[in-house]
Amino acid sequence: MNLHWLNSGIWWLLPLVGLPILAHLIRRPPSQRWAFGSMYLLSRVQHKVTKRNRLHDWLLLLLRIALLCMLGLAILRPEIRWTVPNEQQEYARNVVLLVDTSLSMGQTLTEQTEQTALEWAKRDIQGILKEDIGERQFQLLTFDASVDVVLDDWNSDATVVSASLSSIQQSEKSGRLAPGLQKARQLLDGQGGEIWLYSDQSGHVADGIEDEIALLVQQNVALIPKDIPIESPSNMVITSAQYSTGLEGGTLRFVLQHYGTQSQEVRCMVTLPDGSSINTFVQTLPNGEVESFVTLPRVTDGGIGQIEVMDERLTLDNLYHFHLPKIGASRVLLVDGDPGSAAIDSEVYYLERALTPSSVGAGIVPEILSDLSAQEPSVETHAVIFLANVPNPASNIGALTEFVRSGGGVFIALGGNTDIERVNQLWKHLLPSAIKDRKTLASDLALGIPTALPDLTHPLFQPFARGGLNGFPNTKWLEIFRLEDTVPEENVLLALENGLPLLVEQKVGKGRVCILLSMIDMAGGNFPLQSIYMPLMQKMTTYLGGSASGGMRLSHIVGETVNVMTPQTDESMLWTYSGVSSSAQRTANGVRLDTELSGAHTLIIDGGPVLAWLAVNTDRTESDVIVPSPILDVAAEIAPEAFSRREEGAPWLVLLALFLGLIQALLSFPKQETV
Amino acid sequence: MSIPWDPVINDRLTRLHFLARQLVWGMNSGNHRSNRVTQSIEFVEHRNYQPGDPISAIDWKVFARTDRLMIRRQQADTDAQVVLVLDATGDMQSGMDGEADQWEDSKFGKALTSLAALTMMSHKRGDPVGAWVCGGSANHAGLNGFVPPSGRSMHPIFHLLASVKPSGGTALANSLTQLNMQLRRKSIVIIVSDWMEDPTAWGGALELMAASGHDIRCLQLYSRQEWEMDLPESIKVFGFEQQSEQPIQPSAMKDIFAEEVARYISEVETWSARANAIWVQSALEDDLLGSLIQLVRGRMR
Repeated sequence: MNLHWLNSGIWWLLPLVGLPILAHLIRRPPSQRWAFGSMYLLSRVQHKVTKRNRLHDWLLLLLRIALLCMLGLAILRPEIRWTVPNEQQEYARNVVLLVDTSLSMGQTLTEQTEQTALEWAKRDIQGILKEDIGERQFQLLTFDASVDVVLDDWNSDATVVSASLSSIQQSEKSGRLAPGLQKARQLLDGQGGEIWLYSDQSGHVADGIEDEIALLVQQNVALIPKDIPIESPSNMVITSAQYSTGLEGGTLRFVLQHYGTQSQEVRCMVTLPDGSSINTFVQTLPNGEVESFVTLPRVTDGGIGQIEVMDERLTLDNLYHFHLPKIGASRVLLVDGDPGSAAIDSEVYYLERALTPSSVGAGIVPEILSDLSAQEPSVETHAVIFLANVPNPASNIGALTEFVRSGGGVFIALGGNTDIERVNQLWKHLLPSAIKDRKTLASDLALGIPTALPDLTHPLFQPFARGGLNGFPNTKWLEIFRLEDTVPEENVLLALENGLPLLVEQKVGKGRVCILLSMIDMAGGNFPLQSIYMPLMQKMTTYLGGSASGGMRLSHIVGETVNVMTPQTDESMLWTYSGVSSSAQRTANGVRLDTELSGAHTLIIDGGPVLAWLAVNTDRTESDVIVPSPILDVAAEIAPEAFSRREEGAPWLVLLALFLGLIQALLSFPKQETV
Repeated sequence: MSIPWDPVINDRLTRLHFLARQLVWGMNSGNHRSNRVTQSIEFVEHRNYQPGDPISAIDWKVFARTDRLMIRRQQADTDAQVVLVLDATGDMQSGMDGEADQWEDSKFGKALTSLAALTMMSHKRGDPVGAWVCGGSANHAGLNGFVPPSGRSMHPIFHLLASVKPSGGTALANSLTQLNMQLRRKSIVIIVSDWMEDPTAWGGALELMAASGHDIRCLQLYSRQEWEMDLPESIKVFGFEQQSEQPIQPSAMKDIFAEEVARYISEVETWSARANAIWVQSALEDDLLGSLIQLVRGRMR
């Protein structure tokens, strides 16, 4: 109900109401004087008379001001307008039942009942159908993000219409009314009729309905929204969750939005990908959001976790799914094939200090193994694997290859343990070329072959553009493994001054392999002692591990179509949801998924690694159960004549002014004003 | 200022005489007995001599017979001494219809008429009569506001009454207290006033006078028009004892004022009863004679 002023141009006259106040305050005192001999008696009653006079005067003043205000407002011509359905006077034969099945229709009517708005709508329709429907015939439509026609054709059999209601299912999608109105109008086919709308009208339901409203009015179609008796709409949802490093295993921060007027404490349960749960309580604000957090344990699996807010009013959006990386494991794995009798004989000794230059706890703390067979490589666990002079290239070779293909990085340093024949055979997919032989370049470091200057535009060597290039010529090599074939120039990252490749690269799948064709300890040269060693190896770690994300991380809303770019492969790909796998629908560049339900979806190659993590949540806008703009209000804006009634208030104000005038006359008669 | 004589009142009053309700000094009519014990005619009793008694009062014959010092007491008839008290405070100027310049019809004019007639009456009956003025202008023609009771001449009283101009504020309580100290003999004290002061103040003074044995008679002059708030609407009232003016709504305050008047009269009756005083009210709008006859005869209205 809105108030409008038809003569709003004369608002400036309203201050004239203040004139009677001035007149009241500055009125003339009585002029006749009277010698009064009983002043003593008058003084005894003076306080009583003054009090009564004041009360009387102010009452009169208020009445007169109110009287003038009423007259002033009457001149402004106030008009009250309220919205009504454009219900037709005559009998409408064709009726379209348009039922909103979007997520917000899952809210309960009250805090005490479990009946949802959608269930109420169905019962209401069934109740109407039980009554005498006359010659009416019905069509039944449901809508969320899309429109479904439930009945095949117009039907006047109440039993059939009623039975078809049972097929209406609650959706998790957001609602859009405009397509529903369009479909209903098309079904009415310009013959006029009525659309009975069952919707809670929250979220974006009313967006974009302006054109359809105009067409409905034009085609003599009545839009009749049914008032669903939802008492004090309320809903609580998680709108975002973000992992960040910190104490213990880090912190998961999340935002809890409360759509409702009553502040309350609510329990939230965070479930991590490994199944463990963390409970917390959050005090919500009325119609506001609150940020909260939980501290995660030191070790947990990566994947998709969920936060559940224990809200009884609308349970469909209680879960929020979020991505979580693997926490607690080192992302760098060092495999030391030749620990040696002394520390300085070990390649890993130098590598470890290159990655952790100051002390334990700073930089990268690698995980160290002596044989890769002890742990199956996985991009979920590690980003980079250093293989230093490993004697057995067969260890977990399958997993190692998959590790690289999935985006992991492998750095291989050859050495005394390298069996050239077996390496060429087992690592042929990882090497740019087969290894030809092992050649001694010099017996003394003074005669060793210096390293040639690298290409500073390459990401691996960009840090040296600011200085430190001298370290390369100072790095001399005593032994080198030569390759069978000539490696493409772009694959040679570093070479000796005599042109022999020293560091070569091979891309495999989404990952890459870098091979140092020498030894990383002092047996191969003075590399570990040179200034370039530490920054180069640290940069090598990020260079190799940069794409080891363990599958794409995707977030979508229910109802959206997800397209995932995948490697061209003939292998079968599966979507997994709640432990159930189904074949992924192929597209030209990958696979697609039409999301119908919220939750954690994973795309996997059958028997292989996870290609994509997909967190699907409901539309948080749909969770806003507070109706921002009722549909009838929108309709009244578009077609005010059809969707609104009006009542001018001036006559009532004049009547009220007369009444006030009568009262003040009675109060003041026959008295005259004195203080 | 001259005294507004009323020949009718004078004529009627001179045919009356005061009826004393208790023993006061007086012998003229013999109707009122004095309690004064003198060496006069009639023996009353003997009593034992006490230190301080005059030696001349000792009955030596009894001493000779009984060897005891006895005092002889006699009773004498005296004239009734009348003291007339005039309230000359400012508000006594007020009269009827809110007029301030018609002083003959004002409370003060009526008071002068009353007191002059009572003076005439007392003098003709041979009673010593005096006058006392409360408030008023400071200079009472050199008489200091008091003419002691005397039976010789009325002139000083009339001169005093004619020279007083009403003015000033509250004065009754102090003035009556002073008068009580001035009076050596028990007297008939007639007070003419509007009594528009706090009864708890002057009531105590009246009670003190009564305790001194005086016969107190009060004439209250008032305006019925005022007490009934039968006044025009929208007026400013003023008093002669206050400087300010006050607008009032007579019709709006009629009931409240009537209640207050009733409450005031109740207080007056209480105090007059405690002083055993004759209290006569006389409205300006009514005939004064009837009120004066009541006052002289000593009967309550």
